[in-house]
Amino acid sequence: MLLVHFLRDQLGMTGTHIGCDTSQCGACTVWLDGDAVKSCTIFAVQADGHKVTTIEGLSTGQKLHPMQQAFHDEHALQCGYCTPGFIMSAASLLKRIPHPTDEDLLHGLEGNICRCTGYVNILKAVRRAAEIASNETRDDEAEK
Amino acid sequence: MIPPQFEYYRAQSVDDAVSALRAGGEDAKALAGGMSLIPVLKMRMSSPPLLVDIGALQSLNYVRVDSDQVCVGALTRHRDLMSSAVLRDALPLLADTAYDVGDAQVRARGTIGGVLAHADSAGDYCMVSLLLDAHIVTTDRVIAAQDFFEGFMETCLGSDELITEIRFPVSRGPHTYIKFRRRRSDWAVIGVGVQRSLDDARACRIGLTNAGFTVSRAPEAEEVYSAGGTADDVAAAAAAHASPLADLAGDVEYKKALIAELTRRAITEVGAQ
Ligand SMILES: Cc1cc2nc3c(=O)[nH]c(=O)nc-3n(C[C@H](O)[C@H](O)[C@H](O)COP(=O)(O)OP(=O)(O)OC[C@H]3O[C@@H](n4cnc5c(N)ncnc54)[C@H](O)[C@@H]3O)c2cc1C
Ligand code: FES
Ligand code: FES
Repeated sequence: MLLVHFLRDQLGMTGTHIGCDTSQCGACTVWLDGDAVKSCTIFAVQADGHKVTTIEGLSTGQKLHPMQQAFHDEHALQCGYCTPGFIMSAASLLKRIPHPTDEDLLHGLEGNICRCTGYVNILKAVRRAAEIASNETRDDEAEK
Repeated sequence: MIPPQFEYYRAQSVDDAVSALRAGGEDAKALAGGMSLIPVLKMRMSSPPLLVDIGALQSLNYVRVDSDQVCVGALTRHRDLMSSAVLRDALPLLADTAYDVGDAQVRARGTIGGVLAHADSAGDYCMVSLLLDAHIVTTDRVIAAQDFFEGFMETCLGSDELITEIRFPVSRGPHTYIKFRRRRSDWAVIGVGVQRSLDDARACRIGLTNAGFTVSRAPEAEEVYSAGGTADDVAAAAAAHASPLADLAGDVEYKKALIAELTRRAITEVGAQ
């Protein structure tokens, strides 16, 4: 069984979407041990013993993850089909590269396809999330 | 899409994987990153009774450099290759190539050994290994890259033989890999790789991705280059001797025009480095 079917059909967690089902679109992106992967191209059994994070696991209670908040603020979605995958990819990218260049963003998000937005607001949102995150670290450091 | 049923076994070591494959019979298959095998299973183009998962064997994930060789473990992932500082110093062509394989999610899972074993004519590392006369180390033997690729997605690997390491010569000379794609995350429609020798400006190797049933070198074009030909002469020779296949991306004439243009650009770029 594919991981995406396990998440959606067995666990009833339908935040992870199936777009192409052929490893192209990234709508099914989740984290496996913190890395963005396509859950339509990994077997559930391969995740046994590993940590899987889906879009449902990003927010803390009612508080959105900075990337979710930034997508909301920048109007980075229209139909929303690609959004969970984009958020998982983008948040994973910022963990590895906290201050991405434009090339880092294009290179790191090429595995996600959006048919509505034209990508401009998505890129704005990711840049904004990077800013929010670096302000938060600065605040944390100031407190110490 | 639902893959066919199979038994799953997670190998604890390379030896364990080989015994499991042997016990599983001819059609049992190794599963590394799964980025080619899982799509194949979903399309039901193959239905192995047993998958032996080797993806988590960390002992085969490394890049080591000695004086004249770069040794890469078969399970080293595209992302590890692209961000390896030692690789970027000793064999920048391979690090650059890894940077443009698939997309971020694919690079986090897919492995160099998987690309070689899958042996797609569009497999970028297949071209680099042929271009540089790499050696492919398996659980049974050491195979020269030129003997490894036997035909359309075919290699000389036995059914219970695993790739463990790929050995490339250290190559620090000017180089480039130009990969023509419609979308950035796609496989190459055509790719042209060039590696020039560090000491001899007229010695260069040229490799072609997706320009025939298997990856290929362009020996005629290399000769034109060493005889002092211009970038246009080299490009014409590369296109004249290649046998690209028509597919959805274009017909033979279009592919040949691409081979010529990309070769011209690659030679010009390397000349300017
Ligand atoms: C959207 C997308 C885009 C891609 N774009 C590119 C691209 O531009 N360029 C490119 O080169 N590739 C591309 N790929 C393929 C990707 O690089 C795969 O990672 C690679 O082809 C297979 O590696 P893997 O580790 O995933 O192997 P798997 O899929 O696990 O295995 C592939 C085959 O190799 C065999 N195998 C795996 N490891 C070994 C081993 N150590 N010894 C013996 N046999 C082994 C398996 O049994 C299987 O038959 C793309 C894939 C996707 C999904
Ligand atoms: S549904 Fe997995 S990549 Fe499109
Ligand atoms: S918002 Fe509709 S596909 Fe991206």
